[in-house]
Amino acid sequence: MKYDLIVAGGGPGGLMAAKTAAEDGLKVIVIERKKNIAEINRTCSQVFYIRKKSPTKKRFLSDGYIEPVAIENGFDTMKFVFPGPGFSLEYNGPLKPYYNWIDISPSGYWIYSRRDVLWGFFFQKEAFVAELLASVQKAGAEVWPQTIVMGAENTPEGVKVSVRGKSGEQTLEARKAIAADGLESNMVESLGLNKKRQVLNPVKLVGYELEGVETDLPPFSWANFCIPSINRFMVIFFGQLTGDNTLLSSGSEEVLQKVMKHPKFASWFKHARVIKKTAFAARVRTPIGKPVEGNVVVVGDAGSPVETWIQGAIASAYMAVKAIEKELNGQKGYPQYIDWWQKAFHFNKPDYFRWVVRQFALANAWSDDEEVDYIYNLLQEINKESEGWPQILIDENLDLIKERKPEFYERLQMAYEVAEQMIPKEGS
Amino acid sequence: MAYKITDQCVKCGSCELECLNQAISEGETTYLIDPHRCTECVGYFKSAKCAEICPLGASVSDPDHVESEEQLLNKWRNLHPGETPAAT
Repeated sequence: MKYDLIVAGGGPGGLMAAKTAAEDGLKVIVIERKKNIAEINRTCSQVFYIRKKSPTKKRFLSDGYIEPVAIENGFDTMKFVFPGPGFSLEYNGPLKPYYNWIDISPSGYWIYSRRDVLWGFFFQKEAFVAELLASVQKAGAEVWPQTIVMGAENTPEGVKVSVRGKSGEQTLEARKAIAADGLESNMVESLGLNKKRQVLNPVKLVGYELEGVETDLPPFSWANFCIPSINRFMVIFFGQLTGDNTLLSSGSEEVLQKVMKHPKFASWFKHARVIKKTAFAARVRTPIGKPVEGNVVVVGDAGSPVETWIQGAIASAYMAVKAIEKELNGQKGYPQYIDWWQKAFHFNKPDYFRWVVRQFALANAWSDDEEVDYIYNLLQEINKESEGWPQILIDENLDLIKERKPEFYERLQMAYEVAEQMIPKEGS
Repeated sequence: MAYKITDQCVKCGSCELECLNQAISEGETTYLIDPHRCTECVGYFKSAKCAEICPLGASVSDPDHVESEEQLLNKWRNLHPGETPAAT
């Protein structure tokens, strides 16, 4: 057989899998849909989260990778360190720390979701992918750009993968394959792994990379706007990228334009210029519970509802390759990988979809912008010294909210009741 | 009418995987729709999937390629010989 491992997808997960396997001596090929692998046009916050153990950890919720990670700054190199799986990965591109996470109401009341603590770094995905691609090629893996994986079929000896490129369709064979072809993975679909997954509403995002933004925010902040009159269902993310650049992102371009013209925030964007536009769209599905099917192992977003984060994609790729290597040596590797997958991601926890639907319930419960101002102001008083997501602060202070804003309290309770009915059944 | 992708496209690529006719491919500055392969999803769906998924509204019907439902269905039959179109 020509290849030991076929990797579907040349994103962070696929490239990490190829690098790991090729460096261990396997014969590897990576199949990627795009022409230029290191060109990133899908909206991405490009955050590497490092702070996982918090004195108030119940206040933080996330959808992604749960295990702690760190950044190690050596004499002449930087490394992303993954103590759980037990590996590190060099990265020498731009880094910028985030110390605050601020939730902002329409009139500018702030709640600190995270305050004066290093919780993550901006890193540049394009630089990261370029470095990873270089190490994949250095390790001797073949990389085929502008080629789509159509599907995979398990055989007694291995796996057959059909691909379509500029010169037409062909079938490749290998002993094992990794599905790292993202949320709309053809490999996952062709193996029937989507059959048991419930399909939820699609997510759409548009991102502006802006130059010349001047905010009143403390330095090194990430912010979310809550402005129901502009947008309810997709929070508006606001991150500071490297140099003077800023990311503004939400569900549509119209929302971004309205935020930039909003009376409270227009001065921030007076000299702003869009230097890059990005977009993202995908269906949300319940996660794959068992990310192995015959000789194919699923990594990264291909098995997730919407994101594993780049760090989760890398970690799962590393773990998958180590499992595959064991299996190729006649040992059991899959059970450990499946067990790790189920524990490493928040979306596999039973409370995850409850958290998701309650977030939407809260977004839907606001009567108007003034109500957000009132509640955020109230929470700001309570939250003077500490930190916490608005949703969690609200849930913790329901008695006070009931007393001060009974109509909001009633609406929220009703929205939460409806939300309970919308929690999807567990995935496959 | 076949669909076309306007210069609003930022190459996020979401449309390419939606297209069951394999009419969409990556161009230099935008994704491109091959009008000879685009059936506006006639034969598969009631509506054009690329237009539905695009976050920027960059996929629109092309006035330069006006076709009737029947013409589109014939195009679909030529692309997928021996297959039966979905009842929509």
